[in-house]
Amino acid sequence: MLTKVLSVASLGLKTIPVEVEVNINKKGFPGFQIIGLGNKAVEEAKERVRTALVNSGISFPTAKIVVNLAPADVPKEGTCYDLPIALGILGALGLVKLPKKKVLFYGELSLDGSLRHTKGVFLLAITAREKGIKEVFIPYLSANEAAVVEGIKVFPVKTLRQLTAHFNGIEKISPWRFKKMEEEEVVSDFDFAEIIGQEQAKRALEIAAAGGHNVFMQGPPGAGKTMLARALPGILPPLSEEESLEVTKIYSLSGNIPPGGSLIRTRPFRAVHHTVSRVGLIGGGSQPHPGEISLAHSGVLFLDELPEFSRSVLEALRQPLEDGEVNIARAAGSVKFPARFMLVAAANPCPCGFLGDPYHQCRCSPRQIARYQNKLSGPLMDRIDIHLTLSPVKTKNLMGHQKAKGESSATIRRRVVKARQVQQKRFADLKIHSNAEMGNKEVKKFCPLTSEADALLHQAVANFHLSARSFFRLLKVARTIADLEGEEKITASCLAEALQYRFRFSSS
Amino acid sequence: MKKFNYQKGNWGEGIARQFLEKKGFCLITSNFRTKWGEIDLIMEENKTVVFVEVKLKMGENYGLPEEMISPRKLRKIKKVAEIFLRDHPDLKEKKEGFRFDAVCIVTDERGSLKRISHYENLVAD
Repeated sequence: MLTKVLSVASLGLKTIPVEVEVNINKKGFPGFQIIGLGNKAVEEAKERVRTALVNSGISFPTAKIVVNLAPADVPKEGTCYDLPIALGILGALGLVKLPKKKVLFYGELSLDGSLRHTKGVFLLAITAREKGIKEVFIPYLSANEAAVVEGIKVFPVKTLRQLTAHFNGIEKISPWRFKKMEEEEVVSDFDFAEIIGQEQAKRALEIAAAGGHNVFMQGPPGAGKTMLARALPGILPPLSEEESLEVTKIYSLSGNIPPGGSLIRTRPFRAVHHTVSRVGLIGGGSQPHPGEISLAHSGVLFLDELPEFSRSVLEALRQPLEDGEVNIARAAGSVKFPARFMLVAAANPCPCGFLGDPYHQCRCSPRQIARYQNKLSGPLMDRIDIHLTLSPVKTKNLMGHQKAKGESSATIRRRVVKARQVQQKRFADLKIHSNAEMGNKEVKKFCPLTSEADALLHQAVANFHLSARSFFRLLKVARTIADLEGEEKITASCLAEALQYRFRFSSS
Repeated sequence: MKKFNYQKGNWGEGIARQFLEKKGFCLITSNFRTKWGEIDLIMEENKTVVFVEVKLKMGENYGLPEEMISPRKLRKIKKVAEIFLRDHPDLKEKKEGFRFDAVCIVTDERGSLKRISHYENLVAD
């Protein structure tokens, strides 16, 4: 008997429908084969399906079973084919009446016949909607992911037994309808109110959060670089609907959504350790997987101790920083992942960290310093909009901190959200979300200057020898400052503030 | 115990041989042994040389005989078959084809026959 069950395979963020064909031939020599370019995880489905069926009270047939995952020339991976294979076998044995309509099945089986949380359910739900498939059967623990997609019926399945009972009309599984998700409360490690001093840095981070600008912080150890970065998630604006869908796709694909979780509503904050490999950061593998930059899409990528990262890893960041996406080409095919992130990097000025510190002696030789700073290439630094030099906090200010409490994250966030709303209105017809994403054409269109600001800009260009790229970056930062201030045109003071944050070659 | 296994093998081969002869197979040789392995029965059917692997299981508590014939076992039989054909060039010329079969026998604990299955043309993959 031959049966066909529908499922999906993912290729990067795209998915294609997969027909799981199961043939049971009672005459042939008994065996169980899965063909259709499955990887090891697909191959092992044999044992999971066999054991799960036996443990659900079904005697596994002694017959020649061939499972074909069509189209057979597309490589498949993952454990999501367990459920369609098991159901195909049950159908072929005549134990289950398979539905006539187009229905999707997806999920990993546990040996006891229950279904496990499976990655990629959200992508499946989107595919179902695009292809006009009305019903999907997925693991109960992952059902939240699919329930946020409108227009499909989601059947949460707990066990294989429950599914057979459903199709044989004994006990129906009640489908979940579309659920709208509420906003989540943002919790960051630190509140800005806890950070003493560093007012300029706080202001710079506020600008960065408002416009989605990249930030580079340089300063001696203990100045609060890491703390500032960790407090950043607390002032980031909430994800828009469209951004949330994109982020959730990436997280669902990479298995980063916990069981029971659904849409990602907070901006990702990815802190990456400096031993990260190029594939880990950019994405890749023989079957391309998203890297950290894609996981930080629409959010923050935080690279602490920037000069410690290997040079090739940092240089690989250049293209995605510019384009907001990364194209990974491998033998198996080329895949595009979105990677529109806000880069926040921190570094010491020299190996010992005290270069330029008024209270400590720097112990590094000029050669050491040069080597350390050479790690950060000009082209990379040129792509960062806001450069900050932090000075150490005076310990005196730390004591008696009761009085000197700064602004709380919530207050700053309100201003950031307001500035983002201005930008959203501005870019409503365009495919960009924030000032940092503006191209040169948009900069010319959306960054009008007042006459004093224009004069200041001419002066600055003449004196600082700005490169073409840093010229446009300067205007973008100035635009964000103007948005925060609620100005229509960029004023001279906005531009002057933006000029403070530009990249200077020698930092000390 | 070893001796018992040996006897059981002979017994199973006897059952299989009778079963196949009834179907019109002719015995060429049995227990063809080499350094690398053994073929239980080599028979002939319609000018085709058939290499037969016999498996017998007493009781169903220890799995099916079919499960005992792995791709590895099949590869081994293929190798021995090649040696057999090298040693019998006359057969190689006279006959029209070659095939691998399996006969799986299940008995209960006391030894009365419960099932006998004949699988034709196995392919090792």
